[in-house]
Amino acid sequence: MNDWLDDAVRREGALMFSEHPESRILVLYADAAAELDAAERRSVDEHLRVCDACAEDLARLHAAAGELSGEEPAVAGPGLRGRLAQLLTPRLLVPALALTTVAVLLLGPGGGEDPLRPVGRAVVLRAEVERGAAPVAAPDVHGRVTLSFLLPDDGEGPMERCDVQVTDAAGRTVTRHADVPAFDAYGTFVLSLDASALPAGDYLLTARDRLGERSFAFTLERP
Amino acid sequence: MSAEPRPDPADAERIERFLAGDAAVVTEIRGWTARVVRLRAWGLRRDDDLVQDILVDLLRNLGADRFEGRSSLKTYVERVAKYRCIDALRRERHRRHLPLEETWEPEAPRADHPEQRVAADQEIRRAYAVLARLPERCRALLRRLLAEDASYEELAEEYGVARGTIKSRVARCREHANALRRRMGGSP
Repeated sequence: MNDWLDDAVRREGALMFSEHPESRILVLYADAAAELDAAERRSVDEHLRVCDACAEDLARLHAAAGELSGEEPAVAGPGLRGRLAQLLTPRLLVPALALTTVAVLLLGPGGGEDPLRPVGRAVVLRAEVERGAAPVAAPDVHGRVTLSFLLPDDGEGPMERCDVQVTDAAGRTVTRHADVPAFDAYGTFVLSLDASALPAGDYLLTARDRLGERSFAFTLERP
Repeated sequence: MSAEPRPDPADAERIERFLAGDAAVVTEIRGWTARVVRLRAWGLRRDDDLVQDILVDLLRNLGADRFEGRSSLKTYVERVAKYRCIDALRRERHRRHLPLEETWEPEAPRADHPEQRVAADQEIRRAYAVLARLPERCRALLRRLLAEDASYEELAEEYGVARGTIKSRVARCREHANALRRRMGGSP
């Protein structure tokens, strides 16, 4: 048996089974408690009484605030070439992700009043993987999927443009985009596809740049 | 009646340019984000993927008019970055403890005790940490039994199994909790 468990639950009740507050709530608790309502603040207060992990997170947030107030950032970036408007509406923008990754951005329902709550859900998946393990994309309410991929620097500077072709599992070309400009100085490219007429299945996005071809597999799924 | 908060004109213009992919503004906001991610407070390794993930959030949130202007845009960006850093820390913490959650058998005690904290009640905090790491099926069962005073008979009916099955499941969950507690440096 474990008396320690019974004793703890006898003393604190259901609080012992409480979930951690969402991290955005903890951030507001640390930075701007006034923006939380009384019930949210009380809930975090109580949780912190029993949870070391969240107490540690809170301590880190306070330390982070201290660090941030201590210095101003030096923002010096290379010249960028954002010209996404040619490709996307602002609500479909997706920036770069990791090296050799492809991101499938699924635009979910906006909903809710919380300004910090993420809109929808971004799924980041590895590219150049076996087809069976490829990232899964589901069209948003507008029938579109947004893909972002990175073409790494080849030592002569980041890729600024590339040609993109998407083919289905049978090798048929579904769409082709020539001379697509990069989104940023890191070789990020973004493509918003009208997938409304595409059947579910495996697809391959092939980007051609000055180095040759690089392929990113993804699976289109229908709800 | 007070007016709804709105972004100040400079921030509103910055958002518009960010959403349009303006090079200078993307760089500026990326800089704000990267600075938060690289703070020593988190103890995170340099993580450009995380910076990019946060930029995805910002693009989506700003594109959906989630920024209300209650704070400056920079403060808002920093808050989004902070909570994503906390998420990253939580994922890291979860990964560290994953083998425990997947292991049913009791494990040998470890020598490395958790750091001592100035806390009101170490025992309560340790018990919470153990419960937080139990598999969900155990948490649910123990919660009904211990915090909500459900009887074995009630649980048997809820789960659609015999009373004896519930008792043995509770016993296994308690054993698992003891094993976790030993590993965290407490006596069983």
